Amino acid sequence: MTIQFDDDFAPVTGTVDAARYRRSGCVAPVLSYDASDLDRHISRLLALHPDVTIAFRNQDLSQVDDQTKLAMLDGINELLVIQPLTVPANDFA
Amino acid sequence: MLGLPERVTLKDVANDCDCDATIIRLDRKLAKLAVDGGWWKEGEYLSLRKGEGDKSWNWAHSVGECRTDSFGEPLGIQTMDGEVQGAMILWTDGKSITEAGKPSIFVQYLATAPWNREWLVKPPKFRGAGSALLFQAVCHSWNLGFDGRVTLLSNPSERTREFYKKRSLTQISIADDGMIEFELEPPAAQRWLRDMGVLP
Repeated sequence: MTIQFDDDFAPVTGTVDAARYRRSGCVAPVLSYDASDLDRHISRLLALHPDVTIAFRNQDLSQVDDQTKLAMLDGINELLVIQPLTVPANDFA
Repeated sequence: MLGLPERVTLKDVANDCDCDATIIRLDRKLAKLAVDGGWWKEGEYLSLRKGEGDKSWNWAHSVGECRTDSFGEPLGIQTMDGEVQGAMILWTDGKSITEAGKPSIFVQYLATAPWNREWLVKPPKFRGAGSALLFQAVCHSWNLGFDGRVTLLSNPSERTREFYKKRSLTQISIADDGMIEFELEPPAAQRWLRDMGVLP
């Protein structure tokens, strides 16, 4: 099952002036462009919610296995009261 | 993408059927070849570009900016034939323009391929690419704890403005250049997420 979109919204919308609409003072996490989605998501959560502190001895996410990262994400979501979305299975079958 | 809908279905208008598509993370090569080069080919749509709001946009350059600032997320929607049907650049460190201090996703650029623009091509090839990308921004906002809040600037096109209003985006103000500030506020975002079945 996939999510269906069929309305006639064909946007051409945007601005070159992004700085005005972005927060100042947020420090972007250092990530390689091909970092995994999980690494990118956890890094952004921590950068965008600086009040969330977690005991994390290893500062390099790439050195941590996915299971540990997912457990860490669960903990962060719980702290921030984020209810994860229920996305349909990601296949066309 | 983590906890986000990746596979979506668009409407193939000419063949009157559904068409599977994938939400992808754009890289510079794809942006250059499939969007900057693929959308505006000589002899096809290039002559129509000068009347479009995105006539000066350089997607490869914008995607490049996201390489050096990891708050940026360049996304596209790609059909099985490899064509990119729509593209979007969002910033995860956006701020609300209705509630001071509240975080938001800021959509900097959002556009569909020229063959999906009804005012350029009749009938358009696909419908739904724009909505699928905008919905992706709402999902990003939710997953980052921003309650689904999304902020964007709309070109002063009646069609686009009507869509945003229909989706319950709040019109905030009109800038000197005619651009209109819109924000999708949490109650409307949550309604949309529920309607699409991703939020209980």
